[in-house]
Amino acid sequence: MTEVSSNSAPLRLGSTSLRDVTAFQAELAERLDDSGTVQIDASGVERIDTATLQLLAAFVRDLRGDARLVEWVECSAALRRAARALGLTSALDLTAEPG
Amino acid sequence: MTTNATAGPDAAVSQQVLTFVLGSETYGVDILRVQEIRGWSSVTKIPHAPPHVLGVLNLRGSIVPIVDMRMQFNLERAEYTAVTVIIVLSVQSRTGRRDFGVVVDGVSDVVNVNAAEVKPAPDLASRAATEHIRGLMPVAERMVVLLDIDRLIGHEMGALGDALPEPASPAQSAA
Amino acid sequence: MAELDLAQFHDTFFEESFEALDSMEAALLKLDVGAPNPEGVNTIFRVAHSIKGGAGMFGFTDVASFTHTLETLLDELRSARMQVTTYIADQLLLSVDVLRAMMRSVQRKEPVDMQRVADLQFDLEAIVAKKGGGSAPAAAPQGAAIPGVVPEASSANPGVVGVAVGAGPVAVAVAATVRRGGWEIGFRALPELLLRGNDPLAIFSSLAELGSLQVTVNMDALPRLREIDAERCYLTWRLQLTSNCSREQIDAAFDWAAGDCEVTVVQRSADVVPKAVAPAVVVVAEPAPVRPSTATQVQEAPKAAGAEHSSIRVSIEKIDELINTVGELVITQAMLSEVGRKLEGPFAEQFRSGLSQLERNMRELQESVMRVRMLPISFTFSRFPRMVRDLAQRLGKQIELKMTGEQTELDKTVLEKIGDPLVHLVRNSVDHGIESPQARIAAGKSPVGTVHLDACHRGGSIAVEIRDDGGGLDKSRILAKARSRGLVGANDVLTDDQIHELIFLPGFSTAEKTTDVSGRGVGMDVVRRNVKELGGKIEIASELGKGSRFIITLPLTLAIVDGQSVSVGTETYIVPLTSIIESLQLQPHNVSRLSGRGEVFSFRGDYLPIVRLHEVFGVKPRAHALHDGLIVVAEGDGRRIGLFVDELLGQQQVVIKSMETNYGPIDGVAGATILGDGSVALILDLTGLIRVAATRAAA
Repeated sequence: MTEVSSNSAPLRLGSTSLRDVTAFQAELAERLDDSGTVQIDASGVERIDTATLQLLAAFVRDLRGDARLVEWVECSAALRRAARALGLTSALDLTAEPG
Repeated sequence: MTTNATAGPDAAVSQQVLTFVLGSETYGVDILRVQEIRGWSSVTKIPHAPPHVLGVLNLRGSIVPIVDMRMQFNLERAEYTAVTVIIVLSVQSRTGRRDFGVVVDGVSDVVNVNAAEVKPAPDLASRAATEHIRGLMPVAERMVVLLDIDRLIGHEMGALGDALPEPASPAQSAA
Repeated sequence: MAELDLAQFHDTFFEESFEALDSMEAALLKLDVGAPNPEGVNTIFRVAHSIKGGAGMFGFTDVASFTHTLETLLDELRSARMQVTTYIADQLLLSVDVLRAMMRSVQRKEPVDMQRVADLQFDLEAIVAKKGGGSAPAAAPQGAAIPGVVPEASSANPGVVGVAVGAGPVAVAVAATVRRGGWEIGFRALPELLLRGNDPLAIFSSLAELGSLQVTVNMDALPRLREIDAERCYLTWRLQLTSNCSREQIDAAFDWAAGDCEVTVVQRSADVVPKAVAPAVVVVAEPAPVRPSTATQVQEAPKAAGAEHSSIRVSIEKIDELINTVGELVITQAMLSEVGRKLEGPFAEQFRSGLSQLERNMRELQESVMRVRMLPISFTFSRFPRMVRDLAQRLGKQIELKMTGEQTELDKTVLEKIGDPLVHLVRNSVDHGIESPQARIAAGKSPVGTVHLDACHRGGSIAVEIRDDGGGLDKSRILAKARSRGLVGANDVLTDDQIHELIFLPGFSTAEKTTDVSGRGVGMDVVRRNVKELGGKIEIASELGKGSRFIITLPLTLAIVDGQSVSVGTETYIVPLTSIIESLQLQPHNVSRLSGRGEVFSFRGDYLPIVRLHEVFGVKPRAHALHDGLIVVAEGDGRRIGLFVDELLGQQQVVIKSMETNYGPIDGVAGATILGDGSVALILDLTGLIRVAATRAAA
């Protein structure tokens, strides 16, 4: 039974780069304190870098540790390709078909 | 004996309620919420539970809390006898579906509800709260009190903190 | 809903197909053209056949059609109607490339380079038609190369007959045998990599232009989210590049990043395709390669080149469902046994013996199902060699890490959650346990300290031990610190064990952690809490100057617990065996009343408080006088108590059922279970119980 996070708006990802990455980390850390599934809307991601993907990978893993899930409401092709290129597809819980 | 309370061809949408008896009153709950009806069996007590939560029972593998409705309605405690009945209901709460068993005196008929015939709950100062009452419906010569089961169990389980279901919106209550 | 389900299968199909293509490639590379091994050809055929089947089922018609042609050719080969020639082998290898690229495109919903596919398909059909004759037909390829995959021969062998130079896909010529080779690349980022503007993404895509690239990531060094330095890359990768490119071309991809990363490049000979080291047990979507390390023996993946070891992927929900159902079976069987005990009559004996057979079968089934979720602890251990080495270097210490018992298996969930506590304990040993080389020499020890990680099964549990030969716990310092924090009274006398236990108190360890990673404080109290949440316990043994041992005992599985049934009045409760130390009957003279502490009794030199379960739970007991009932000496929350109950019933394994689904959390209660007679019994949570009792006593 999926329980949506009490912070109900999906986490919206834009094209982040190394400059924004510490702020992004803080945002993710906030979500870690919630409960329930975290929805992520990555439709707006046109560019993404390793630092961001690394944070996302840690985020999904830490969530899993709390028995929580990530739900990719929308995911851009750019993010999928980048995740695939780094071998992080399953670490990020991305499936081949858009959710 | 099933009473059809529908008036005519342009009657509002019916739904069905299971009616049961408690003390001298008859109540009705949405039939779709009824999981099971079973006889009384001894429950396992839960430490420090509120008095109307009698304990838990094993219902086909799930642990289901059993609640005494009489306390909610300020009736005296009755003895649980061989004909005492437990109705297992499923309630929508904030955390999803939860099952509860309520102890009643006896189960009556399944009755069709015509929305047009339902009268609003009386605004009586003496009632503790009437938000769990959807309305009153005449059936044969009696008045059946239609219950909003999500709100009702919310009150019952109010003392349990997290177990609180969200008060359901009227459209959703379908009790 | 149906679409969603299909999508799940797609993913599996793609993953399995890529793996199948790998094995096909491996088999092809091993093929001796002169004397091909029939089994090898058969393998290749079977792979193509299964991909065709899957593709057909999911409606990937292009893939299915191409694979069908491939299959036709392979069928001719395996039935020896055609001979394998070098040319054919090369075409087959090319087919693997094309198929891979095709499936990638389909998977990403990008356009497939149908020109390339069509050209190759044409060639394959030509081969079949000519029954094996032939040189490369002069195919005139057009169209762009599939993104990420570049024709293998064009850059390396421009002069080969029949090759159209340019961006187009290529048919490989006959005589100049261009054997498939490749490279194994290991990549590790150094701290400054990202800050200097380099990104592995860019590097990997340059590599992907050289051939077909497979990427495996290792996340072991990635800390918890809050502790991450976001500008640093903690991931390491192993890449397999199948390509005939030169070493220089690979090095060129790393040009910009030179100095900011560690790269190892190993050329694979054309005959061997090393398999990614992968778990041989049921894979549940977790990339967790076991890193080989000099100090340890590591589980070698049985999928080593050539070995046929089949496994399937199963979603974790299915496994949990299975385990649930088995749990229900256990309960039902217990109920039947109960009835069987009471049965009389001509068939009673037969029935009972049937039941006992059932019980044996159930036990086996249960064990098998539990084992499905079990993974070796090496998955968690594997991070330590690196961690210890780095930490020791940073601290200027010399430390040897020994690991034994890595094959010991435990439940997947337990495995995942035991990682953090273990990391903390190992860090502690390295940080505070092992002394500096000078201090060690001065103490007459070898300058190299040893940290030993060991795991083994003990009874129905798993025991994980972290042992070091460092300085041990300094009891006087611990006591002094505890006193200074008001955790212990100035005049309290504590046993050695009690002093050791002090380090588990919240707020105790904070000042120690000067060298530790900042962020969410991970004190020893958190370690103990994590272990408790897993239903386990942690014990300490230590000797000043000699070293310390931390022993974590964990249940093999979370869903089932070994319990001791006790009765209080009409109620039955289950006490988890891991919490029980001993049960005894008290004599009146054992009991004292201490002011401020209520009833206590003496046990192994200590005075332990008595907790009357009937009082805590508000139940009417049969025995009121202490010597009329029994005391179960139990521990929780770092403390020991004597639990007063009416009597002990049996010991049994019980399936834990959550109270929280329909009711909610209850202090002192870990869950519920269903007994053989169908009634519900509450399972005690000693930690919570002791806290509740303490609160009541204080009130």
